[in-house]
Amino acid sequence: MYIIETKNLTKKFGDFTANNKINLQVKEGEIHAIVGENGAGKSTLMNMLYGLLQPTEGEIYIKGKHVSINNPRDAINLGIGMVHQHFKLVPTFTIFENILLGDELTKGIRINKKKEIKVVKELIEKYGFNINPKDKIQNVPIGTEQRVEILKMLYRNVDILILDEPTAVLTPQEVDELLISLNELREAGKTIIIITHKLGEVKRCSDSVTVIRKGEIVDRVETKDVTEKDLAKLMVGRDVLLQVEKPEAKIGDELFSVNNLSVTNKQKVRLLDNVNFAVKRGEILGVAGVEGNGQSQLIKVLTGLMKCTNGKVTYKDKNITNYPSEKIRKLGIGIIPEDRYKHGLCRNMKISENLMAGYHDTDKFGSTYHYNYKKIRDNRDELINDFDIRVGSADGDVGQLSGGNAQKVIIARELSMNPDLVIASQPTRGVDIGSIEFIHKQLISLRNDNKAVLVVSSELSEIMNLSDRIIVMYKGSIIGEVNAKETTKEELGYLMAGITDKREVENNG
Amino acid sequence: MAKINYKQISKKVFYLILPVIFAFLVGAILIVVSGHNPIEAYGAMFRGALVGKSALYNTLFSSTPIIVTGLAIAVAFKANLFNMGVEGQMYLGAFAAAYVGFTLKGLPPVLHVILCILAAVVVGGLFALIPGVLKGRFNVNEMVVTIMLNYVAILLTDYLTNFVFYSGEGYAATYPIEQSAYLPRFMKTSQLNWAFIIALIMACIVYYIFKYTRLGFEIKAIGHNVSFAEATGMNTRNKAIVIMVVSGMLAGIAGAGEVLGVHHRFIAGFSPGYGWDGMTIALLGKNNPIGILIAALFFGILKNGGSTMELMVGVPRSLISIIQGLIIFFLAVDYLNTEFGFMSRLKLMFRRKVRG
Repeated sequence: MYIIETKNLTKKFGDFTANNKINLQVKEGEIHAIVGENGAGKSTLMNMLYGLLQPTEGEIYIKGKHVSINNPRDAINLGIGMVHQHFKLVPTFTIFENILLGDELTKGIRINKKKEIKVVKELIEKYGFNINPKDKIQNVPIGTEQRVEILKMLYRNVDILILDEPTAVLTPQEVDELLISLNELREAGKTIIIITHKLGEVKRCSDSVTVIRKGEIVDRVETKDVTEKDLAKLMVGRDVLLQVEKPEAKIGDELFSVNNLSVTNKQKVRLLDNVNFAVKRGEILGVAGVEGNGQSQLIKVLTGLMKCTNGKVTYKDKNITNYPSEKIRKLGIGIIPEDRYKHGLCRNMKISENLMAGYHDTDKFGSTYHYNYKKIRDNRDELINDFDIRVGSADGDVGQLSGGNAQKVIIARELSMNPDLVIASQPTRGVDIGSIEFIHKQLISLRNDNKAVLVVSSELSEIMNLSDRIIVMYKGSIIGEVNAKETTKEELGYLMAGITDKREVENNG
Repeated sequence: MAKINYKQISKKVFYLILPVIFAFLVGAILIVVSGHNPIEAYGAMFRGALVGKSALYNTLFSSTPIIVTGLAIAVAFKANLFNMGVEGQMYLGAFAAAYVGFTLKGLPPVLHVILCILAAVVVGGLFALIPGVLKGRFNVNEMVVTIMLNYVAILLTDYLTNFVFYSGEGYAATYPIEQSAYLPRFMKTSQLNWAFIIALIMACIVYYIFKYTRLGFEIKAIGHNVSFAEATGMNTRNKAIVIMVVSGMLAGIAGAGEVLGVHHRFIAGFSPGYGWDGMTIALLGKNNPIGILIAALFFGILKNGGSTMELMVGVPRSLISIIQGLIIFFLAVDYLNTEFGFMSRLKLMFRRKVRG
């Protein structure tokens, strides 16, 4: 007897089949992981279970009963709750207000705040979370926001909890806490489905795994019977290197340096505080840190999206402080922005157009006054081929591509211009494992060609695999620098949490 | 591949004419209510607009100014810049054309026409520079500024016509322009003139800009996603100024066409709202020059056929205004649809009701 069972569930978008005859089976009281590359159809499947999409064909059975789920409210009534990758909370409201949003406890026409706080407090205690219901969302760390999303669902008495990429935004320590909480929830009798492509976490917390590839279920396995490598192979359909090999670094001259860089905003808050570092040819410098510690601002300043209030940026002995992005690109710096769909791509423009943006005024695509569509198409076909971008229709919009392939469009565009330095921010966020391998290979081959890469990532394993040197940002400044070969996840984790002295931890903890 | 494209295109065309169909349907109901036969009325309208050379020419004539104002608005709208000041820019352009037309004397015809149009382009563009700079440099809402500047332009030309260059012929008009500045007509019984050809050339130029130039590429990117445009080095603030000016230049040409081709002088308040009609046309034509040509021709048919309908069937001409208004209304519904998935929500609601 399965708590969720689907029979031949199929979803088509026009001619494209996102899910083909999915027979998903989830047992009551287990943690079930759904893994698959981006664009494999995991989210489509979950959105059908949560009522955000309607299946084209097939049936859904919840607790053995055939149901039709038309919207999230139906899903919640059936006991299914979902926590999205991007949280949907009101930042200026407190935690208890967010949890009870839409289900306020009232006394007459007024909201009964006292009772609300009491109810939420009981809820928090019941599940053993460590949060204060009266804190405002804007003041709490992202891990707490996630707890609030989970509590929101638990308050509505769901017994099946779907978590979409729950660890994408967390620090390693927060991930540990989340996994413990998930275990506790399972012990309390909840069934949990987590969608992810981080195989390490799958291995650590799940009981069983369903692997999806290209809209179909490849296999359903018990977690204890498989290794990470097996899962990766099932997901991608071939052997995958979880860690890209990289030869010894041949460090060259200094290419790019940042001196005393500071940014103060209008409220006189220092977003960046005296940042200093240099990148040399032949190395990858990683910038680690929990999100929101100034990395975004640093990248914005370095890529011309924000002006620094103080300091100097030098590239090839030239002062390029506060250059706009078109000038930066012209100097041979490739930019892979943090927010893919805001700064990197335009969803409703064609793939070919996205592949020329930023370089659209070079003579690569025609003469000064006239675009040559043959050149534009050739460029597109060449890059789709070279960078293995998987497209439904080469003539389509970027919006139809999966996250990994959309990211490859950016990588292809920037790397095809032969940059000497690449500034990459979260280059593989939300990207599937096959594409991660590909992107990492590209960045490493750039480094091997005596060029340089500056990579910012909140993904520790990515930073550790890629970088030769790692600097850690905390509250807008650089709190430490480590050698990638010698450091450990723990050491980085402490630095990311702002702890420079290990003894301090040992004494206290 | 070709099959998919065909399907997509027909779908696009369907959505394009959907508001028109709805408007005609509601219009038909109104005709029935007023005691006439809608098929007869619409038949008379289309016959009056399309059958016979002079009818056809008059339809093209009616669509001439709104092709150009439609293009002017499309250039700005496509970049998400709301230039509501095309009307005013057109007035100033028209006045500049007239001024050059009656001031310079003894020039060869073609040269004189070119000079007049150039004057209109420059003045229209300069006038649009004001909201452009305010937007690009100080981020002032262009919508408010352009709407207000319309009054400035209209009242200023009013003043100049009535007091400075008054012809003394009993109505608010300037001196007539020299014969050499006339845009010639194609036939005696229709006012259709070379302004129409200029409008077509403008449509080609805008098409070329959109498709083949960096500016066109940047307009598209800015319109779709301004942060993306900024991050890929398109200098969106300066581009806002450039785009505004190009839009104003086109508006100036629309005005010049009216002066040189139709009135042969500047008449205060000559426009029945060409700038505003251009907005509907740009929306209806989805900011695409070809779509704009079709939409403008369609408006020409409405305008020109409306009088025939009144004459032959007795349905008042004001029905045409109602249909135009309904088109705007249904365009707004279409907008709701694309932005908020209005239709699919309706469908879902309907389905749920059926299921009980």
